[in-house]
Amino acid sequence: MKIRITKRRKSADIEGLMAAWEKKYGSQVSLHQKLLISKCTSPELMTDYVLWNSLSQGAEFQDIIVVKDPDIFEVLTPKRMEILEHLMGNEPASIRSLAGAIHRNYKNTYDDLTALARYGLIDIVPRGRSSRPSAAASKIEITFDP
Amino acid sequence: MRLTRQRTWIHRNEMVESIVLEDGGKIKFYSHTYMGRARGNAWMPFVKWDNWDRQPHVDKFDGSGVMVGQEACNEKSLEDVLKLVQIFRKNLLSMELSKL
Repeated sequence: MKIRITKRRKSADIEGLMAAWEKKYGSQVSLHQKLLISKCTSPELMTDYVLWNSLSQGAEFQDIIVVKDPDIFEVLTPKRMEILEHLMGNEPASIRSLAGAIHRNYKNTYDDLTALARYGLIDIVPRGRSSRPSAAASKIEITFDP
Repeated sequence: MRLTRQRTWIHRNEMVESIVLEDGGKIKFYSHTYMGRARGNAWMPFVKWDNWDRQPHVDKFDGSGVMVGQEACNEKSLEDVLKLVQIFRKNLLSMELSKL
């Protein structure tokens, strides 16, 4: 059994990724230098460099998550599926406003979002003093391998 | 140019992160990293197969993310890597990876 999640990547998401790399490394040149100094021993630097370099050249980006771990079904409880469904059609400004919209308390909503984010099913983006949850997936497929 | 990032969860705290860059239908770059979640939720690499500088090789890391070995090996697709990781899991760290 496997679950394949195709992540939704809007152009604003890609711009956000690039802004985050610029903040973290300064420029692509300085990231490249860091990578060479580390003699390519850091997978994180290499991944960030390849992603940044290709995306800035306009590469088409496919972001996929595959879960082969059966424990995922412990994560996908009915309440969490309800959150996922709500996020697919709405864009709440904060966790608190999501909790209000689905008539649940803040703590339980926060815990459920954390569990969903752990497998990459949703994104939690910090916005000032609050965090904005959003559905990361545009498509979720479940297949059973023979 | 087409860039694909695929994260495959093998187990609750273990995954393979793959980056593949294709240009004109040919794979220009690949990197497949088998990693595990350490304390504090950070991901630590165990083994990484890639073709940086067009030289296919495999890197091995210790438990704290420090590279401890590098060997040349055949090109590996994500399917090859997933097969190896699912069969051997953390035992890969004590194996001669260039021969797999």
